[in-house]
Amino acid sequence: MSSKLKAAKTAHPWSSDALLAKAQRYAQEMLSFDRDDWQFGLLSTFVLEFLLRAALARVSPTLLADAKDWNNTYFALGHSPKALRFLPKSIDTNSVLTRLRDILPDFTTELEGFSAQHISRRNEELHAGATPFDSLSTDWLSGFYSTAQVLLKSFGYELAFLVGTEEEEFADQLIEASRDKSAQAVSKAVNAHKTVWEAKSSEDKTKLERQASVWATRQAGHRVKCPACASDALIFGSAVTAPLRRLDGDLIIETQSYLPSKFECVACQLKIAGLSQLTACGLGASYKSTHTYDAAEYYAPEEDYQGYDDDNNEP
Amino acid sequence: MREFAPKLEPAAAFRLLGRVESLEGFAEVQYLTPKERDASTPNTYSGNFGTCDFPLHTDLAHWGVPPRYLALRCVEGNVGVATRLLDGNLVCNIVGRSRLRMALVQPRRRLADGKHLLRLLEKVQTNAGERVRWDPLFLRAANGRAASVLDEFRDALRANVPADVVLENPGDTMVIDNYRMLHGRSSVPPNSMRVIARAYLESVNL
Repeated sequence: MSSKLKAAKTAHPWSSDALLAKAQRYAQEMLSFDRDDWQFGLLSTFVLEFLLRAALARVSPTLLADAKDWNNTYFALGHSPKALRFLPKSIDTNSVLTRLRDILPDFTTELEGFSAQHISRRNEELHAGATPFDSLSTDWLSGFYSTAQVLLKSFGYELAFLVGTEEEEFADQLIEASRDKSAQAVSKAVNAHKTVWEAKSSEDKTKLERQASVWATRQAGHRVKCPACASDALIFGSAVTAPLRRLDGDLIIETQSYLPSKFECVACQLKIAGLSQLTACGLGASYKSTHTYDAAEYYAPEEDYQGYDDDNNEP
Repeated sequence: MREFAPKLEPAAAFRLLGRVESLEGFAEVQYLTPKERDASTPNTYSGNFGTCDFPLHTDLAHWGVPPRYLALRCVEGNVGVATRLLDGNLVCNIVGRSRLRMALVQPRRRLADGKHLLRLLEKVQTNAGERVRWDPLFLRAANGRAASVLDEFRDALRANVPADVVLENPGDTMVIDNYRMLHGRSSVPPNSMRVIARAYLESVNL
């Protein structure tokens, strides 16, 4: 028997189809302006907002509902709430971003950061006298198109679905160029830290290496060798899969895959942020985090201030 | 299907074919008869085309989610009237699938709470296929891209010859995949009758 699909006069306003169609409408409007025109920038934020919400609605429109009022969830489920003067309220963009980061493995913290920044430009444009898109160079375009690409991919669509093949080709070149630029910038930073490191005395190096080793052991994160000084360093990232738990005797072993988002070496002070930059210097591979707990520990309430160094009295 | 379960009433026959869908504003089984333009209303095909050819279309293309299948069953046949069928894939391939996916259209009239944006070709999440929607009367272009795509769609329709199927005898029944096939009706000869029962199906048992 074939699959069932219910006919309906109108699509739900929070459905991914309706939101995607809005994104397409604004994208076409956006492309009628020059890329350095403030209106191109402003319209791109609307496109982004609809894409973000559509990607979440693809999982379920209920993820868009503001949970403060259950009527919003009821509305998202396709019902008509009986509450008087009811106006459906969806979650704010920051919550959309947080949810997408956890749901879409390719929606990295870098893309999340870009989205938050771009949407805040829109808010500044609409709520204040400032003109953030007038003074903006077109550097943001690669971030915008990379984000759109990832969000559309969750539907199985290419960027051309939104902007047509011509603009897609341009966007691909832009993204590629941005990767090259990132790689150059990272390589420059690594070399600079290497030079400074090599100039240190061997005593200082040994001391710093030891401190870095202790730090990397005690901190939560994925231990790697620093590309500049080869000391123990850490990569921090965000989970891309749900944790897998298995029992090994009395122990609970939990493993989870992560995508790197940040690197830090306390020995030579090299810091790198963003998956694309980490990939450019060979630190972008996903990694698996394994935790072993006994049952008492596993079910114990989470410790306050987790992830911070031990308490100390430093000013 | 020629003379499919001829002793059964249309409603019962349709239930053998699949799950009949109840749509807002429609009886479960509708009886279609030719009408002169003056005898009908402008919100219908008869009110616009009378007994002339009905252009190729998909049913309820202006709805957010059109019905999946439609079933037509002859109650009173007319050898002079054919149901026309054309595979939407032929047209989509001529116009270009990616262009159709970008072409936004809207119903010509407000529907429920407004004029929602629709795509001529879109993915259907439940079965990962694609749905084509087309109506030369009830849909209007909603963006600049769509205006030219609609013209190209019309040209592509003219370039293809639909297959004619005559529901001649009572019980002759066809099921149309409304997400893929376009259908229409040939003109009705003067002073002749034809009665076709129609139902929409959510799913089919075939």
